[in-house]
Amino acid sequence: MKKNHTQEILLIAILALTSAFLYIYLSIFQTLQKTPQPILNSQEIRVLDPKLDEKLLEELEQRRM
Amino acid sequence: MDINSKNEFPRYRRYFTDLGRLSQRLPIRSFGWLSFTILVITFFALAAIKPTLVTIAQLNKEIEDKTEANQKLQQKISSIVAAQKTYTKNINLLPLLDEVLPEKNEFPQVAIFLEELASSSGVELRSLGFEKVFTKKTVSAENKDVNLSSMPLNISLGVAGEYSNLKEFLKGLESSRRVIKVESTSFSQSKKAEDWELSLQFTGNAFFAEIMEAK
Repeated sequence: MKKNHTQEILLIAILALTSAFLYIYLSIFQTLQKTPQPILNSQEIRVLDPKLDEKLLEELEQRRM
Repeated sequence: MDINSKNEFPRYRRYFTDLGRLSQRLPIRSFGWLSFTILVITFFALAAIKPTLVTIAQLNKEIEDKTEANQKLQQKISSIVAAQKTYTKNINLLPLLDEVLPEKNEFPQVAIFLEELASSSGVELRSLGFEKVFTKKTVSAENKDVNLSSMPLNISLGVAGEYSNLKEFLKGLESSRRVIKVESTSFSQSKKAEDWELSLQFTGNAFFAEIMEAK
C-alpha cells in the first residue's frame, strides 16, 4: 500500500509556521518587558519646587536683630 | 548495484514511484505547493520578519522612554526658570536667612541685640553669658543632597525692671530674627533700699548651622 506523505509534510509545515510565529511573539514580548538602563539618573529626575514662602521673608524683614 | 541501468530497471521497478505521474495528481500537487509555501514563509518569518519586529519594538520602547525623559526635563526646566524668577525677585531678602540661622555662632551680634532690646524695653541688663555647646543635631533635607547640622549657643542673662518692661523684653526676645529658643525664665523679687525690684533670669539657645554636602 502506497503511503501519501504530503499531508504529513503539510502538518509539519503548519506546526513549524505556528512555532515560528509563537517564537516571534515571545521575542517581541521579551523585548518590551526588558528594562533598559534609565536615561536620567535620580538627581536629574528630581523635581524642583520653585515656590518660596515670600510672606515668611517679609515677616523676617520686619523682625529686629 | 547499478540501479540506473536500463537492464536492471524492470527488476527494481516496484521499489520506485513514478514522481512525474504522482505530481500530476491535483491534490498531491496542491499539498506540495502549500507545504513549500508555508515552509518558505516560516523561513522568512524567522530570518527577516522576526529581527525587524524586534527592532521595531525596541525602537518604540526607546521612543516612549525618551519622550517621558524629555517631558520630565521640560518640567524641570520650567521649575528652574520659575525658581530663577523667584530668586531674582527675592535676592535682596535672602541674606535675612543667614541672619536667622548663621553659619557661625555670631555671638557679638546676639549680645548687641540683647543690649539694644534691653534699652528699648526699659530694663537693666545685669548679666549676660554665652556658652558654646558642642552638640550637633543633624537634619537631613528631603532631597538628601545637603545635611543641616544645627549647634546651639547657650545664652544666660539677667535683667531687672518693671513687670511690663520685662514682659516687653521677653516678647522682643521671642520675636527676634535670629532663632532663639527659650529654655527657662524665672522672675524673682528682691528688696533694694526701700523699693522692691523685679528681676528676670533667662536661659535659652541661639542656633547656628553648618550646611554640609551629603555624600
